[in-house]
Amino acid sequence: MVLTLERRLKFTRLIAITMGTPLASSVFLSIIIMVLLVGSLANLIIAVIISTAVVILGSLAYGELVSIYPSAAGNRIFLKKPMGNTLALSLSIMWVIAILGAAGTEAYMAGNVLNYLVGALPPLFWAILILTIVVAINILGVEISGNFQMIITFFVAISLILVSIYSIFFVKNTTPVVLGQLNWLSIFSASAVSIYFFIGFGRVTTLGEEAIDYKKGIPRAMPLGVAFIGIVFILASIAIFEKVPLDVLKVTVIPQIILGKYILVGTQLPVLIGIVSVIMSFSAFNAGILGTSRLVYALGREGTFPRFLGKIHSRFLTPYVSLLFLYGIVLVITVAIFVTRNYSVIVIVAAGFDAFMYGFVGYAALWHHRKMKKADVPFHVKGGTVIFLIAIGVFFLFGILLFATSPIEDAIIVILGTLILTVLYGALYKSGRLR
Amino acid sequence: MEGELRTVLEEFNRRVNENDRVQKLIKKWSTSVLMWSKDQGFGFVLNVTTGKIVEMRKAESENEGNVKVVSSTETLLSMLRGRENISHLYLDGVVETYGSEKDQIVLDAVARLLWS
Repeated sequence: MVLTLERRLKFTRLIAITMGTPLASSVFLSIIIMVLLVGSLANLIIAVIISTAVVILGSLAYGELVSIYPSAAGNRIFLKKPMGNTLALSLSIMWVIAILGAAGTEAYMAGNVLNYLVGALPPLFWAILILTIVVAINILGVEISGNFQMIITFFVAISLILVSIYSIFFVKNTTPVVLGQLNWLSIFSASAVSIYFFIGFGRVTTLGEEAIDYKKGIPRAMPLGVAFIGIVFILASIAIFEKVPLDVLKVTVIPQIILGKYILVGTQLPVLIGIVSVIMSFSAFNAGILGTSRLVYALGREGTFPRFLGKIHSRFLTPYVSLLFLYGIVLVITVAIFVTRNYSVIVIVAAGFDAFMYGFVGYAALWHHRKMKKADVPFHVKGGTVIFLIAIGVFFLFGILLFATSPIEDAIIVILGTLILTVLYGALYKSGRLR
Repeated sequence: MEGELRTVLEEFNRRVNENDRVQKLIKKWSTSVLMWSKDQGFGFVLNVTTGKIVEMRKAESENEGNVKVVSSTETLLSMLRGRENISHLYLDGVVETYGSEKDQIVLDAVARLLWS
């Protein structure tokens, strides 16, 4: 009885971890881009449904791979056999860069929200402060209990659902909203942007849970977590689309708070949404920075990254150099966003690269699905060949469409970044300096 | 194989307890580590109290220990003898490690200090 309850709690916690990283407040910035793209409510709803469905297929690919390689270093090991060491490593490093870009966007959002809530000091100050606090907590080795994180995640998700439902069903629209005409190019472009909603859901695969969780729990928890995120953001997107005028949306960077102002005029709802938003940023930072620091540390230890990144603090027993290194990169990205006031480059690069990465993971899952004996795959997806083929096709289509319809610099960043890393590490492997 | 792993682990324990640099690093670390051979189906639990490995015993199941290192006997032997880098094995997916991030990183640092 007790064991069953424990396992249920553990499974719920795995769903919460899956949701924790994607449930970031910078998603609201991607909602702005999406709403400006779609043109009609029908396009918006279908776009989010499609992206949620496809990411669920992607999560099944992750599920099959993580059951084969439990507790491994995620993408790198999944891609290694099907694509070779150099490309697997280059894509994994690019993925880390995409996550750091998303963290910079998150800091930008958090800074603006805290400026709204507290005022007095400029948004950049608040962005740097929240980043510094998160990194300091990680360096000091303060561990936030899993159950507390789970409560926070569900609190955030349920708060967003309730506010959105209230907004959609109980608040009258100032101008009539109709479903509108379907435009498939707009739908697929918006779907591609909304891949940003799910960034980092795979973090649960690298957490060092129990072996049994990798074979059954994590593969089953991921699709549920992704579906839940889809529900949260489909409702939030509809609420923002309906209640925040496009002219306002074009100039704001805190649409969730503006939504609060429109649906309960004269109340403290915007402040409450702001607080939820800060919690989202804090959790997403913590998950993103902590999740990538272990990989950077391990890459430093094995010599793939400079060796100083593999140091640990003698008192706190944490990988402080890799944490400070990540902090530095996120800080530079954050300042760059504040200076240029352009967050869309990062959102599109992160969403586009993530789309390609899910496509590659789909290919890796297909490769293993066909090459390995069924008995050696603890989570063998029924109809995996078809499912993974669909995932590969749609994710690559999303990636290509997103870069084709965005400013050329977005595609250049991704192509050049991957190319430089591939050439660099290809040369290092060839020369024998890396093995 | 079981006897060989026990012998190598005993030597590993001695080195951990006698190495000043390791002791300085892990003086506040208390945990239990399971080394589990997945091809042979046996393992050993190392109980660590304030940096000292105070007990080593045969594991009753693979569910013991706060931090778990699971691999083939050959890989475990090679790793404990300092011939393989734990981080490399982790990144290659050759060893499975379960437990908190902190425990896993400390274990890796201990191995590095012993053989650096």
